[in-house]
Amino acid sequence: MSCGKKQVFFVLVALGLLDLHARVCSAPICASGQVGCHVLSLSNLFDRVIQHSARVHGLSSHLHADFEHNSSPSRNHIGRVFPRCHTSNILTPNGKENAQKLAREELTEVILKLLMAWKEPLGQLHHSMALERDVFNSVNSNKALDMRDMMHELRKGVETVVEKMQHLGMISNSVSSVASSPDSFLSSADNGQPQAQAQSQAQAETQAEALDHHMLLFCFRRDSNKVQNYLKILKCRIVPEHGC
Amino acid sequence: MATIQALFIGFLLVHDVAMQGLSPTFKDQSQTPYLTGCVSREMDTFYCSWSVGTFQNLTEPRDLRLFYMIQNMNSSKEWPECPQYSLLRENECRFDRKHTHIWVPYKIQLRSRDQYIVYDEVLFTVENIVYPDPPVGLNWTFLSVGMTKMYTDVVVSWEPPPSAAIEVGVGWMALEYETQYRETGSATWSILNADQETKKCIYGLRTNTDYEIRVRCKMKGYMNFSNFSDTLMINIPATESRVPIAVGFVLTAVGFAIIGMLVLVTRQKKLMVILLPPIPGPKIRGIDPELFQKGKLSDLTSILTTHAVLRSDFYNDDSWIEFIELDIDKPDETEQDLETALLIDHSASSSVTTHLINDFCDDDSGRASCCEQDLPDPDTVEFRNLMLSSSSVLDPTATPQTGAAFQDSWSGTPDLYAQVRQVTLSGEVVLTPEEQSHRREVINKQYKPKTTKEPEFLMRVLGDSDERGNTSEPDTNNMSTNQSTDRSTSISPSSDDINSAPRQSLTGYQEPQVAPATAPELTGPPSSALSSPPEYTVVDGTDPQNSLLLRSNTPMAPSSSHMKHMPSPEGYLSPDLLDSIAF
Repeated sequence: MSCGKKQVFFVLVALGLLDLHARVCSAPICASGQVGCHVLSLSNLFDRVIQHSARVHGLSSHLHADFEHNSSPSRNHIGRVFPRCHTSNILTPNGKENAQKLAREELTEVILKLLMAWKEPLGQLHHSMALERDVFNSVNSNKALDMRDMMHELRKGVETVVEKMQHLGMISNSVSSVASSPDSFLSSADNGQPQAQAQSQAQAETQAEALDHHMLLFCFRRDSNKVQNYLKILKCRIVPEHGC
Repeated sequence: MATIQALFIGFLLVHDVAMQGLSPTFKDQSQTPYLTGCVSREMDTFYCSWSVGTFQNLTEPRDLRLFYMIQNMNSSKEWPECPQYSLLRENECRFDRKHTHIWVPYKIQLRSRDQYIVYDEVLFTVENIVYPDPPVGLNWTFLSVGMTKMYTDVVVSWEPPPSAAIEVGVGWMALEYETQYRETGSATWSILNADQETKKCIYGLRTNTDYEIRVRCKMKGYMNFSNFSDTLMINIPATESRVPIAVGFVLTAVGFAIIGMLVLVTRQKKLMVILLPPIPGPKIRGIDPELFQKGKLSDLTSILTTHAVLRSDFYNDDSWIEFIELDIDKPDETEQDLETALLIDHSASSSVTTHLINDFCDDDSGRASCCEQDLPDPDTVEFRNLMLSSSSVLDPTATPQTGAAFQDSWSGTPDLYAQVRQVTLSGEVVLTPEEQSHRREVINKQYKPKTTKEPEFLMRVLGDSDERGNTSEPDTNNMSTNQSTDRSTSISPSSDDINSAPRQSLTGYQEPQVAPATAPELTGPPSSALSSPPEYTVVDGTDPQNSLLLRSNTPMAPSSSHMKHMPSPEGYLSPDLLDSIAF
């Protein structure tokens, strides 16, 4: 076999592989009517998203429990301070009935707002946890990293579900991808409890980092639970099945 | 002594008092009312309960009141009172759906009737106080039983707690269930992993044994377990007896024992082979392991040398070529090593030869990747070995190599060739000695690549006065040899005159093209040392297809201008003529 022929052959093979690879990687979402394309039903999409949100919530609970376990045991119920979260100004339904009464579009918007609000703080949480070796071991800081990635995936998943819902006409197109700028969570201060303020001012400098972590973990655990439950309610509203 | 006793008693008293002070306030005489806790069963409502403690005068229903405050809402000074005091139970306050806000911190205070005294206070969020009711309706079904009828598997199923049925159905509450079981009478419970299914498979339960099974649940992601469900009692009777299996095992064991005894006692080879066949050994084709054991060395070596596999390793063509070409790839190092002269003017010939070389071979060092167009293998082996030898084939200090090899088809006389016997590690080509030596010639041309970046191989041409004229690198050693000797190869300082004929025949790889084009040799030895005229041709150049254009004996060559200088087609070229020949 001549050298030239061999070279050409290899080049052709390489090109063919590249082409194949490109085709596989850039598989688009199924257009309607495309043969051989497996379209996921909305129910399946919802299930996946809910499963993902359950994972996020589980991870956040673990982290919060670890933090509570490792932190100083002075946090008893009496002197407990519930931090004000940076997502507290997002109006969220505070019960099952309220969530069920809310319109689909509003519920979807609330979910998206919550997801967007946690985009940046989770990254900062991971960084600050990685810096504090004595409080957080590497396992926990890795968990924070996982949380950030999972929230990102969850966000993408929910956006996909919203698109599909809009495509199927189940909700109006007024629900835009909410790119709300999250309130600066660093500037949230404890309020409503005088003794809490005094306490925080007294210990602010020394326990600033720990307080931030505690607040972040507490708030994220709460918000991930919210997202999970709202998604379940929304699924029951959109895709009715037995038991809803 | 008395002081010691007094001290000891005093110490005991102090200790007692101190212990009393540290003891919990449950058994104190004056126990203030306190909140026993707030609980939610389904994350939709919750209730708080308290205890009056040891105060005896707080028996009226509204002596103790409960107030709550929701953080983050309008934090007015006035705390709202409990929305509904429980009717069925006393000292309990229920928060219905309207007043229950999940994810919101609550503050609950237990106050006296006139609200001046705050007895107790708690702070919580509702999702953290969710303690579900235990699951109900435990039931079990038979799954499978083992062959020995000793162990069995069951499936236990249950229902979610009825108080949270709706929430679980909607998905508002995600419950995890944990199953525990134990043998009746055992102290410890075996705990199975929690999961969200309302059934669980339990494996490995013994038959004819009483077992207790219980289940509890909790919200996924939280830590508050419910109480345990009612205990389920199961007992699976084994229907068949286990005797046949045991007997089977015993019989098998006895059978093996008998066989073993037979083999050992009789020690008959045939019996052993039948009962315990030997493991077959590896079979190598062509080699008899018996020979290794008792054969003679000569037999062994003959087998090894004649074996096809082994021979091909020795005489693998590729390895030769690869090896040789590797050397050639480094022309700079080998240049200095070479003691034979470069006998061709590189400026003149490099263009042609390198052109030829580039077409000849790629960067790959193996022969397999090179383009060998039409060469038959055995000839190519010899030929290439000569051509591609980089180190001193022609080194006078090398072992005597007497032969040179032209292509058979070139000259038609096999005597002109010498077979390369071996290529040494240093790159020298060892040729087999030739009987008729008068026509030997080594054709090795060495080209110093000037224009190309890929010197694929170096070829040397030796042995001519003509060539001497063309050398750009006069090497004293070889030049003297060349000059002194009768144009023989420098490696063979014998009296063989290899003539000064223009043997700059490039060893082309287009040998079939070359062959027919060759006329009988153009040049003959100047002296009469050679018995027959050598059959050489002069290469005039290469055509676009990279085939050599050989000058025929008749003076009809492209470079006819030079031809007229030639005395005869079979004459030799003088150095002056050779200089002017353009390649």
